[in-house]
Amino acid sequence: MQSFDMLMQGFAVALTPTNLLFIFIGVLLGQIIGALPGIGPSAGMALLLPVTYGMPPATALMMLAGIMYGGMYGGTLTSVLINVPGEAASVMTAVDGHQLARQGRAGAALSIAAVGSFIAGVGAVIAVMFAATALSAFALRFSSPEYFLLATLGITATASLGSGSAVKALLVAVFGLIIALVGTDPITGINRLTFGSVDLLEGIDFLPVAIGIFGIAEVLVSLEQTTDLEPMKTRLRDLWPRLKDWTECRMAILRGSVIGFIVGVMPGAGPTIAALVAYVAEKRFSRHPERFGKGALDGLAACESANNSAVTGALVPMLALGIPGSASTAVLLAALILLGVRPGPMLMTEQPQLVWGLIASMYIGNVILLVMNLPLAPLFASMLRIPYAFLAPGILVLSLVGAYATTLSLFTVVVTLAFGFIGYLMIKADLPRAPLVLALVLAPLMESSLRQSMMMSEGTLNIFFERPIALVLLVGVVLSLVWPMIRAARSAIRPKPAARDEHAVDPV
Amino acid sequence: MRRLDIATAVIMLALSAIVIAGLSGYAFWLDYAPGPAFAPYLIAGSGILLSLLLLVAALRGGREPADWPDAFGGRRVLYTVIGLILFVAALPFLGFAFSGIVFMLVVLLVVLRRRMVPSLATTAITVALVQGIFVHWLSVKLPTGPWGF
Repeated sequence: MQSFDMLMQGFAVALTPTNLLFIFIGVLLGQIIGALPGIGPSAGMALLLPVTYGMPPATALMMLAGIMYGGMYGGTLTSVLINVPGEAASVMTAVDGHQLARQGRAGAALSIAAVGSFIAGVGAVIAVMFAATALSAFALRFSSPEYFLLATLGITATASLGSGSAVKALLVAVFGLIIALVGTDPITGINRLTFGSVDLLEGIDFLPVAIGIFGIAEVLVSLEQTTDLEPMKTRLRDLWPRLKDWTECRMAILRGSVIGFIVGVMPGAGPTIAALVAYVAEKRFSRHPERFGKGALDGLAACESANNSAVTGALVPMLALGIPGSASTAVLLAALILLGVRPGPMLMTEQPQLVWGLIASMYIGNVILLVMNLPLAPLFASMLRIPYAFLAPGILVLSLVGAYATTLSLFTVVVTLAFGFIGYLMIKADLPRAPLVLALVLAPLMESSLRQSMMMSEGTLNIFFERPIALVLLVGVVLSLVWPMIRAARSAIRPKPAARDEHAVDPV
Repeated sequence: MRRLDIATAVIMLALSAIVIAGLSGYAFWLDYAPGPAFAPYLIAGSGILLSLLLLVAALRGGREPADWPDAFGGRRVLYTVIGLILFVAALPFLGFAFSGIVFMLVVLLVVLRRRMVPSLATTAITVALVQGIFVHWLSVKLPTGPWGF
């Protein structure tokens, strides 16, 4: 009841004309920034931080938070329409979202994503209201061993539960881990595999790799067609989701929201891991797992719900304990300090109007985003009616400019181009591309957590067995590695049908 | 596909070997803590194991053909890749706007053989949008040529 009263006071703060205007500006900017490859929500928030000087703290926070969750809506657009993830958390969206667009269902994909994001966002805000303190306590039980195993599970589950060869998927993940080794050692700071190059000192960022592997590679494959490149057929009735689609996706949205929030609460986990875990879990529960990777609306709904939920979940440790849960909340924390507000465990009691005003603004922001996106989804999808031959060069230019914008370095553009070509060859060799990018994103967390765990346990592996949460995650990792072999053995034992069983997974 | 799988396995074996060789002077273990070579060696070891598994499967497995493009489609891809390389090479000298315009027009008119007017319109819209959003709104300094843009 007390939370409800505080929320009402928060609405009183958020619903002033000035604050409403800045919430709208924040979510609109966030959506646009999220759609642009190369500029993620945290970079957009950092770029716009100077604009907030002189603003009342509550107004500034509301605008910056709007950019944060608005970015999640925006990342969906380019992932679905042109297979270029706008930011890391949209990588899994691109996997199924673009396939749906190719099937003429871009509008349905965008609509489901918008509604799923809205439900997840609002659900997460409600959870923040009531569970901030309790969930922070649970999240703080996660330490290095749990983070290492969670990141490992993310990679092994994606590789082994995907369609096609599990060995190829794991090999691609290892390739991603090798790329992540380039640069400086996260613990000792010495150079590794830089071969004397100054450009490689900072390592290879995942975003140029993702832009190349997904965006450029797909365009090159499309250009192979010698017949006129037809625009993607989008029938009017396919622009909206059907009732059957909503029925299929409702549980995916619910599961994605819950998983996303829990993962988002864990400091350092973030919406990328949340989207991945939700996708893998949804494939497990789906009635049509064979559709995953080929245009599964429920897979898309799960990722989108999870990434939105996680962005809000990341606020829990920030508001309750002063610990940022993600890059975006780190920028929010910096904004608080610049605005003269002291973050920390006492923030909720010392500045209730600020905190509850922010929470109330997130309800309003999510409603604005839904109102903006739902009617516009068919319009965005209609862009695909433009003959692809005219979109292709523009996508290539946009991809390279987006890559340049991440570091303002031509070296990054060269990396993007190189991975564009590598991505093209990976498609030809039937190698899945998502595990590479995911491994690249998760590698720093994996390595630092593993080495810190070994330090904590003085060189033994006991720490992974002695901690209950770590043990559960370890069992998950082992099962995800063993599962493809079990499935292959079962397929071999069962009498072979005349046609090839499309559900069989060849582990080798 | 068999040859591609073998090539993939060989490339990954080579990469794993490079990782091991490149970190040969680094410590695997430092007193009670893993050293900078700890994770790389584990990763390289996994790469070797998985590459060998793939190699064995490729040598034993089926012979379904790879999905390569025909000659005409292959040329479109090749010319586009060459165009991209030249675009990136020209960026620091000719700037984004000019290089982008030339690249897009070459791809649209020569590679994809589109008509002149829609190609010009597409190029103008794309370059203008990128300039407007990245340069003027987000203040991202894109490379400029001798003409200042």
